[in-house]
Amino acid sequence: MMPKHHPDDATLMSYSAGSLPLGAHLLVECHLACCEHCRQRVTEGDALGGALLERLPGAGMSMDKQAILTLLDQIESDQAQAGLVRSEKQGALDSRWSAKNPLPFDLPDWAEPIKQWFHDNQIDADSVQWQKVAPGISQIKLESASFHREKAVRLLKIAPGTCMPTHGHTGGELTLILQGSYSDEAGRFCIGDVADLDPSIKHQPIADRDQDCICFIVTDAPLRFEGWIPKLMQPFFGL
Amino acid sequence: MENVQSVSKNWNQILTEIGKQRDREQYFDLYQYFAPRVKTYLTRFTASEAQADELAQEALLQVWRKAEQYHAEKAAASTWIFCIARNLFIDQQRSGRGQLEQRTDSYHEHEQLLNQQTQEEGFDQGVSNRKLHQALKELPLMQAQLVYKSYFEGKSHSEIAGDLDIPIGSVKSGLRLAFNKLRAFIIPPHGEDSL
Ligand SMILES: [Zn+2]
Repeated sequence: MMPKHHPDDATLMSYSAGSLPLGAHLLVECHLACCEHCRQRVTEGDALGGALLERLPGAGMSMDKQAILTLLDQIESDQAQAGLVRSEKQGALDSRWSAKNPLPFDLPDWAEPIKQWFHDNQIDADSVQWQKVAPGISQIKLESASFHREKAVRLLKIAPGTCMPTHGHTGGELTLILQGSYSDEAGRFCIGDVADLDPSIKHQPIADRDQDCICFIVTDAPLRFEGWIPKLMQPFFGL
Repeated sequence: MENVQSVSKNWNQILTEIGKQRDREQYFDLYQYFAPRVKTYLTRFTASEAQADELAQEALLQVWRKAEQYHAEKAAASTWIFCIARNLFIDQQRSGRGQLEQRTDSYHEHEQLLNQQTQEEGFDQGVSNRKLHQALKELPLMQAQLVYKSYFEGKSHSEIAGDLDIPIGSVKSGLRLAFNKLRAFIIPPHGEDSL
């Protein structure tokens, strides 16, 4: 599978910088797992981070040489002892990853980080259900204090052939297709594709007819100075 | 730190050797060069200097622990260390321990420091990729500011847009332009050590 639509280079750069809010970070992490093109870009963004790090002035460290060398000795002896335990731990980690998918649909392999998020937040299958928000449209919200920099992080399921109302956004919006496909003014978005929309862009997605379209959607917090936008223009159910 | 900056060091090679030979003195050289910078980097994302110190310490100890996994043909030492530090603070944010509260606009105060530093004699001989550093210096002010705010203030596109009072679209296009200029100088790490 080769995604055709990618996050903006500016988004990938912010991913490298570690400055994406955590919902967007999670979304890009999934896309990277299935997109060689964007992995390459992020490698470049990381290299830029390394170069920038070298340009920073240094701040004094509290520990002296002796204290550091002592710590290294400590680590060496700990690691020697832990050598035996490590293989066990690895096993535990693997089983965590193969844990049951709590979501009511099949996730692609590369979307593991989403599954991981539900595990880390101890949300199990019983408490994960589609909620209807409009005819043909339902959602699962991902709620966590660590998403405080974003307006909404959610999974959206759109029934085949459903036509979403035209809407704009008060902040940026990232959409990752997990299943099915939809089409809008920018083209057809299929599994693995990302739509990276500026607030200025208005669009009218239509789910393709063959199956449900399931997306992971992250909506950025609206800009402060856009508070004057009249209610009527506020996007459809907060998308 | 006295001699470390003025003498050319091939950190990629040094880090590779640390992974193989576990030499404490070599590690300490690397520590002296990188730990203070990692601390400055993390200061923006932590609530106190003590916390930045602690996190930088943790990052550099991870460098020691994981040095065997470092491959010079995949990334420069500075890149590898940057990723360790960045991942540490992302993990902190995830677990809710991180306090990304220090959201001051620090570009100008910091810019001065950056300029002072780069004007110091011999500074550029110490860095691993001189062309990239030159390209960074030549970025137009607005683009430099966008890059800075992304990497060192940890701000998202909309947060930067709010700071600078410009549309998100301008933030993204500015970052794109900067990235495209800089990418040309991001050469494979094994080619960049001929200083
Ligand atoms: Zn991609």
